[in-house]
Amino acid sequence: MAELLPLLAVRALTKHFTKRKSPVEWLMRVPPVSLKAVVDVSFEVARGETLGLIGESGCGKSTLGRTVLNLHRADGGSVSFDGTEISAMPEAAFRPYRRRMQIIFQDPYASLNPRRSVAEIVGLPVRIHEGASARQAEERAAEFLPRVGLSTEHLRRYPHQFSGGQRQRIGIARALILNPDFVVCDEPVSALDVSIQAQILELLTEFRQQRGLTYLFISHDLAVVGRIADRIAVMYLGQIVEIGPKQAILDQPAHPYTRALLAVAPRLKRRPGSERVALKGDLPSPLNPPNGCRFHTRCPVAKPICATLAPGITDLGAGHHVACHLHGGAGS
Amino acid sequence: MRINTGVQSPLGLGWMRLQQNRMAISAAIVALVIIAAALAAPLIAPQDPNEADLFRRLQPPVWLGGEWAFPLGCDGLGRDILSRLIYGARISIFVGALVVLIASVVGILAGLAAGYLGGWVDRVITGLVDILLGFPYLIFAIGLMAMMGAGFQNIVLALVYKEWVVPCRIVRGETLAAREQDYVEAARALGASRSHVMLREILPNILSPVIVVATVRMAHVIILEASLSFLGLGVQPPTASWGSMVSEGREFLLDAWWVSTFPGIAILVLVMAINVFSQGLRDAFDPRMQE
Repeated sequence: MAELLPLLAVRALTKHFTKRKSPVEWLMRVPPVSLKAVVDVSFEVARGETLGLIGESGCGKSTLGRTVLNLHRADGGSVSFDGTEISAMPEAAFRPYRRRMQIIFQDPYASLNPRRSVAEIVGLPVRIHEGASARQAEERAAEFLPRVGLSTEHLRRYPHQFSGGQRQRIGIARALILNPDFVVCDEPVSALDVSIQAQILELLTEFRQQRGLTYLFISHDLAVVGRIADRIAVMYLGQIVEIGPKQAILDQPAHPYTRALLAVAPRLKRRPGSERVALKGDLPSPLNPPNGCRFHTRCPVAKPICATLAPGITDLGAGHHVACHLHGGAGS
Repeated sequence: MRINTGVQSPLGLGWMRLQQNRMAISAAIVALVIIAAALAAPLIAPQDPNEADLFRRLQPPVWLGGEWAFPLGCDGLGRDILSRLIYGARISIFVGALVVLIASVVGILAGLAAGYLGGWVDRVITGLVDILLGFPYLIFAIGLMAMMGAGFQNIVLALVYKEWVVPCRIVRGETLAAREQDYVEAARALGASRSHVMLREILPNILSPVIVVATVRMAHVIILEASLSFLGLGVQPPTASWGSMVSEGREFLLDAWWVSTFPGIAILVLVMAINVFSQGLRDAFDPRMQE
């Protein structure tokens, strides 16, 4: 079978945040401080596939998700969506793509405008992209709400009248009402109770099956990603350190960081032979990342070379890639 | 309080809280009575406010031996003080409302642009704001009036030139905070235009502090207009304005205290009523602003 073009292809994507200098710093010629949130990240997502993106908080996974959607402008590299390069497009040219690429947010309290009714929130995409009147948009919202488990009687209510899970359903309705191809799910269940998490994951899975949606599913929770993802990418300090099919990552993790993540994930039965390796220390500051392999300061099996040379990518076969010297990666 | 009310929108909830605040409601009634009197001035004023009659010069109020036709006495030209107060309220309220309205519109737009667009737009607007803040308000207004000349239109302009800075700074600060909210990011992700994000997403969320401050500022502007009129830079005689009435009574302060005192009390009552009401507004619509 011929390999289909990936829906989303990210190449060497880089995003820096530069702190604006105060006049005093400018006078004293203090060098600009830049936070490298995403550094040289490449991956692809096939049509209909769900790629789980996992990593500690602060590792740049949300920034990556938002840069892919042009909510942040990339400082380097490229993003191509359905064969078209989008990261350098001016906003006006990119607007038609916005209906095809959507985002679901982590915090269901912050992501809904408290002054707008459900009808206005869910109807907004229809108004923007189909030029519908307020009334038409409300009708469309009313048709769509039952699909996310809400009813039309909720239309005139405001966000503060809903529970977290219901609010997340409103956010999902807003993202999916125009039938997008690709959705960034930015920790969509992290703020919810476990029982509600399952319902929301179920809802997302249903939509994927019915409409062939493609997800970039960002989470810090291995259990959640394990349930929904086809492939998993592991991110550390702005870089992807390992990527591969879900089973390969969960059963044969190659990178010491992935192994540490798996080891601390709560599990009913400990796998034989898996030792518990707790990571020491905190995530280093992305303002001043370590030289060589970014993980070497916390790596339990670091070698001298790790402190000086950044590892290249090693192909472990079957789409499983890792960036680690332990796997014979030559310097990049 | 939210249970079984039928009221759902955040504005509706604020309105309910306001109705339960008796101080604020009383103050609103006082202010409304003054506004109604100003509007109905030709109907309720007992005399022509500009008709001088030197035989009644400095005639005392009715309880000090005056007559009922001139209940609060007469000024140095024998004009009825009550009628002049009623007509003067028109100037005070109209200047206060107009200045605050124009300043709010300008300030909101400038503040939204500075806070949301950032970059050079922000630098130009904040620079302008900082320069204007460097001038003492009254001196600035006096200077402008001296340049432009006295008159109603010029008072409004002179006050607006600096007054817009107040809502602008508030809106800019609130916008900076609001633009980082996920709901703004969500609107951008949906392809909403910048004007939609600023006017439809951010503005409704930052409007309550602006409204609250606008009412406080209205009281302030009324005092400034009175000050300018007191200094003879305001509305020109014979048109009555509370500030110029206080000023005209200065000469007779020891012999005929009522000429200055009644317009002074009028300023005090209106300004206090507006301030108390705005406090109630703040408590009702913007609970987080309470100290």
